[in-house]
Amino acid sequence: MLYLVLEIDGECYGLNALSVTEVTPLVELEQIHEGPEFLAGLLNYRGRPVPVLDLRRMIKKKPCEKRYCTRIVIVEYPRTTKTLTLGLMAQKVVRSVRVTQEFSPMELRNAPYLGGAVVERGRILHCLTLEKILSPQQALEVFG
Amino acid sequence: MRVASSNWERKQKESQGYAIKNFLVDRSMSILVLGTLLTVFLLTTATREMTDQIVRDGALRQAQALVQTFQSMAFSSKPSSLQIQNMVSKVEQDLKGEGQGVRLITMPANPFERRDAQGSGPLDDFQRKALRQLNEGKVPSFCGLSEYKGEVSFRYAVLLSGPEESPGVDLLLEVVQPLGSVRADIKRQIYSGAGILLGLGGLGLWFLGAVFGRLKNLRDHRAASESILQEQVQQLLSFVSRAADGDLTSDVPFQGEDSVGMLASGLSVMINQLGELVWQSQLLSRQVVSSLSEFASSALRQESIVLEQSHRSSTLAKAAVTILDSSLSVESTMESMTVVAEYTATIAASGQAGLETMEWTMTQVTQSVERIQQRLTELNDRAGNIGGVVTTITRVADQTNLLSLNASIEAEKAGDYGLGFGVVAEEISRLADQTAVASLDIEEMVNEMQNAVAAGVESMKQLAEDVGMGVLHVQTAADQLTLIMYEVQQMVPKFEEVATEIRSQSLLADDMNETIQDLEGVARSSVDAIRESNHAINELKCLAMLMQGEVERFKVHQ
Repeated sequence: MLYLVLEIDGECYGLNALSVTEVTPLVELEQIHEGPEFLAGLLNYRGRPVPVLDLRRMIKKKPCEKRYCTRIVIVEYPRTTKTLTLGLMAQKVVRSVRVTQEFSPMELRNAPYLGGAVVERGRILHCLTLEKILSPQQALEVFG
Repeated sequence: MRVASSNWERKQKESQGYAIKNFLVDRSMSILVLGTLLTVFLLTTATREMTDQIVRDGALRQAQALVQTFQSMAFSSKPSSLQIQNMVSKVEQDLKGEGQGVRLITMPANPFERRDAQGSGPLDDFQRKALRQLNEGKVPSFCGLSEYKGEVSFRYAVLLSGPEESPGVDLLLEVVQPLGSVRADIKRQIYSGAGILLGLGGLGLWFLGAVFGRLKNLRDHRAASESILQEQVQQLLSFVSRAADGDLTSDVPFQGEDSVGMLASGLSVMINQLGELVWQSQLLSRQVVSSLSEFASSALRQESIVLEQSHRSSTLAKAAVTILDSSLSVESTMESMTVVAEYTATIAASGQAGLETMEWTMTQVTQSVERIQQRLTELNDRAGNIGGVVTTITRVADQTNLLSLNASIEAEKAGDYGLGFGVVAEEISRLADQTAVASLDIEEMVNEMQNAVAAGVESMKQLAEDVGMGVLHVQTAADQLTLIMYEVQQMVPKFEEVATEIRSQSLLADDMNETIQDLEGVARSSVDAIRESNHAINELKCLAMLMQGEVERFKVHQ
């Protein structure tokens, strides 16, 4: 399976390539002042407004730095009956990796989005579970 | 002393005579007459001897005083003939007596020539004797009794240096006082007294022979008058002996019309005249002594003044020597200073030349630094350009990476159909990574280069400032050196002037030293001369005091 690697403060997180629509470069986002903190803004993606989540803000409580390697990953977020397009902003989105081993299962109460971990090239790679990346309350705040 | 002894003898004889006479009055009138005659004879003899003595002593003293006066007047310098003439006339005026006088006999100054000389006229025995004695130098003056123009005179001779107009001539001064004139007077008085006495004696004899028997009871009365006469003679004797002892103040004890009274009057006149003479001599000798004392003290003062002057001039000479030494040393110092100043001027000139070269070099350095700064700025610009290029490369690499990422995702979605495409996408991704790394390296290098260039530019700026400051300092130093050189060059002729001045000053000091030494010698010789004259004055003063002592021995009415 091919995984897209996102790095947040030296920790590597893997996202299944099949759930990724596209990787776009960082552009200026439309700010939403009344929105939650983890919402970086709205992205005009091919004529559609797409909410973009700041993953560093969600995990490390710090906003992403604006670099060349800071990119937005467009994903299809599954919500009960339908899927919604969502942008995930993360640093060092520069490579993909093919994982052949099984992920060791993991269920953390405070971090439900971590679906397991695997050692890849000597480094721990956490598997992000897209369905659980937002808590139900956060999903309500973003999508209503 | 001879007077005193003759007095004593006379008294002895008289006392004997009185004893015999008393005896004879008791016994016989003829014996009384004889006694009276004997007494008169004795009295006459004694009075004559005494008178001679008095006259001689008085004449000697008077003559000595006159000669001393003469000598003291002629002492200070050689008198002129006019002065000598004046003095002679003065002495002659003082000697008022008849037959008295002063004679001047011209003599050769050389004693050997003088021995056989006859002078201005033929010499008598006294003059020859006096000349012999004076020639031998045994006595300062010669005196004695001798016949002169048929009279026994007291004569006093002394040699004087001649008048200044005629240097080879000496003068023999002779003072003559005939004794006869004085003595004849006294003798006449005494003889007249004696004649009266003789007459009285004859009258008494006649009277006594006529009325001897009747007047026998008057014997006592006659004896009484005899004793009065005795007493009067006694009084006269004592009066004369007091005068002989030098007391000329006592008055004659009695006066009268009789012969003894006249004798007393004559004696009184004589003693008074003598006293007057002695009084004048005393006054004169006191004046001589006092003026000699003043002279001696003034000579002492003069000696001390000249001594002090001599000391001062020797101090001055020392000071002059010191001035000479110091001016010599200053002169040598000034010469060495001139040399040093010239050397300094040379050094300053070469230093100025060096500083000009240095200034030129510094200007060159400044220009070089400016060029280097310019080049470094250009380099910085180029590095900035390189940075722009690198940014572009980085952006391209980023885009490539994004593209390859999306491509590999799409290939995965395509499943088995997208396998080949996935490999290509992976290769593209790797290439993009390498490009990014290379561009990162370039960026770092460019950054480092830019930093280095910036540091170089900064240090060049600093260097340029430092060099500018150095140029300023060098210029200031060069200006100061120029000033120093100018000052030093100005100083050299001044030093030379000062050296010349000091040289002339040392010459002056040398002259001064010589003059002062001459002065010192003069002062020393004047001190010697003053000492000699002082010595002579002292001797003279001793002589004058001796003379005064002699004259003061007489008591006179003031």
